[in-house]
Amino acid sequence: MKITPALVQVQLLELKGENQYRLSFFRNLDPLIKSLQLTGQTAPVLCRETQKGYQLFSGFLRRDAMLRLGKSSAFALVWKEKDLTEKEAFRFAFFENALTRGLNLAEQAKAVARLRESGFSDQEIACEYFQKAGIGISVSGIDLLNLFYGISRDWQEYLTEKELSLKQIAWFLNLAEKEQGALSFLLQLKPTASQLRQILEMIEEIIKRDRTSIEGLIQSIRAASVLKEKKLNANQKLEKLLRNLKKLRYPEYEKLSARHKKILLELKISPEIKLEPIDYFEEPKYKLEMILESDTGVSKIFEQMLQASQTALWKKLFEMDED
Amino acid sequence: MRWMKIKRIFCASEVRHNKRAIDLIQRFQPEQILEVKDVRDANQYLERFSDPVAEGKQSLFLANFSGRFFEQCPCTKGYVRCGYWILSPVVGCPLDCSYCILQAYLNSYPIQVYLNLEDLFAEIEKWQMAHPEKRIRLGTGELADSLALEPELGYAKTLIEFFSNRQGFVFEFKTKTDCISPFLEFKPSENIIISWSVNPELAVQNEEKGSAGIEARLNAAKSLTEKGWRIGFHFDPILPEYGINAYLDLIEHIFQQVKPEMVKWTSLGTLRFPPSLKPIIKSRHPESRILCGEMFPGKDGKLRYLRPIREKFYRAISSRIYEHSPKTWTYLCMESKSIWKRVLTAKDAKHAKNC
Repeated sequence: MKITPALVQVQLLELKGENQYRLSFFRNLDPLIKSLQLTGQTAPVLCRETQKGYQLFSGFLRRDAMLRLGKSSAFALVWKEKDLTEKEAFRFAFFENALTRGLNLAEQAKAVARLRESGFSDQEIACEYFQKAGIGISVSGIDLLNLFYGISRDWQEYLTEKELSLKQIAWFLNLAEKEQGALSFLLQLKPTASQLRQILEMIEEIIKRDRTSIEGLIQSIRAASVLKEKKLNANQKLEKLLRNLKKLRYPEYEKLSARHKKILLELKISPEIKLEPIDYFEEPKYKLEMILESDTGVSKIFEQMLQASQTALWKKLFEMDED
Repeated sequence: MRWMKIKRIFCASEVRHNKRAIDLIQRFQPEQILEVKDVRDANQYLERFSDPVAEGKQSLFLANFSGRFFEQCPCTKGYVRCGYWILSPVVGCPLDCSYCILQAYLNSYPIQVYLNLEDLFAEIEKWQMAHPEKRIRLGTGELADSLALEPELGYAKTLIEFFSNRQGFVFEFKTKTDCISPFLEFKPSENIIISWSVNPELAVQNEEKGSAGIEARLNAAKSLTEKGWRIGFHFDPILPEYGINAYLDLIEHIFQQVKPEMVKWTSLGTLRFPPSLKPIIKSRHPESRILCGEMFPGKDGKLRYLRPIREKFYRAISSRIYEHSPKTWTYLCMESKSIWKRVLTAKDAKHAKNC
């Protein structure tokens, strides 16, 4: 049987269906508004006509953008309620969104929640929805998305904005609500995506290695006192916490670095000269860097290096047997 | 203990009537036999599973191989070669070690079993004719476990027959199993060595899924030495997370079981792997402890433990081996010349410059 939806002009404020069908989350409307201003509405929104009125199932962003532009109506493709079930409508919505603008993590998580509610198994969700829409995800990925759906809205927004992959946040998603809450100071400090990935990875590895709790670890890196330091801005606080975390994660490397710094200090090499270890102290070799300004005496720098190189301490720098 | 069962065999169309293929199917008795055009088809089939790597470990792909079976171990950029040669009639392994590089290194999921062994032997003979003066060590344990598919596979027997007493070659079977039945049919040969990769029992349980326990490996080693076979041990990868004492206890255990003079060589190598393996270990082996170590990118870009940690383990382990067996050759795998010199005896360290 051939079913043809009708192209109808609908009142935007009359469109319902927000809770049932909306997938979009944390989207910037500005590009869409700009495009609507330039070209007008080029694709109709998709609706079901029910006894209670029009039910929008795909096109929420377009509706929001048009409302922002002061429009009151839009073109919609409208199916009769009997011709399109809720499940079928959601399937349309999923594929239209996934194949046109793509789905971010929060939207994928929302889709999983809806599909699970509709009785689909994780295998069906992975194979019949995600993989067919070109989103390479396994059954275990579906489970992670379900966990994502359960985390706080603040974390959802932040992780979506940073565009971390599910694999990168899998450990975090598996934490208890209380443990996730203990890490919420990160939301204040707003680390970049790469910083956040690094922090989560280090925390996970320390906890596994030391068999400690998140709360214990947060105490060890003195997070509470760093957060209270009034002289530091958020970025400096973050830097400090990262340093503390690295010290805890890589104690042997810290020892080598501290020894190296101590020797340099005792050698009294001026700050214009940098002697950096190569490959994490893999071999007793250093990279020499000098900062020269027009009034810096080059001979003075070399003299200083020459003097340093004749001391017993200098030899120590190249000894591989650490103290 | 038996490792994963082979539940599926992919057979390349070109070998569907091959006698060896038919024999292998009969011996492995898989639940499924699938004819495929090439390994890409097999990969595609396995990608539908949530863990294609695990499925691949329970699947064989039978085909002929048209490339080189035999090549020098590429070692790794910037480190000393140990001079090993690799022979690969099988690529892939049914064991599921958390640290295994094959999880990231191979571009196919099933274990590839090549059937044209005649070409492999011809390649060896041709090489030997071109290099009659050379004496090399080679083995099948780099891209596979030499014995994990035995006795069904039957290749160990064929290789023993070919290499036994063959001039110019010292052949090594390297394994984490206790499958020694192929050797029991032969008289020991001076140039055939059976070696075991070893780790403390707790590490075996946590990190080497499907492998034989350490007791079983050592019992197997003991049985073979009692029959006159020479053996080797590879402390590789050493996993510092399990503690130095566990390794020292293991060495004591080894030399309680086997006579030192039967141990031809031991090798030491701490864990190293390309960064691309890290997410795979995390997702496939979430219980593993090996990612908690202090690892940094080395000269070759691979992650490895900080040098003083590596040296500490090498020094302690090699000293204990030397105490028990001063004549056994001990060497390092993928390490710099300076570390060879600093942790091994002068006699063993001099091999670093020869390679």
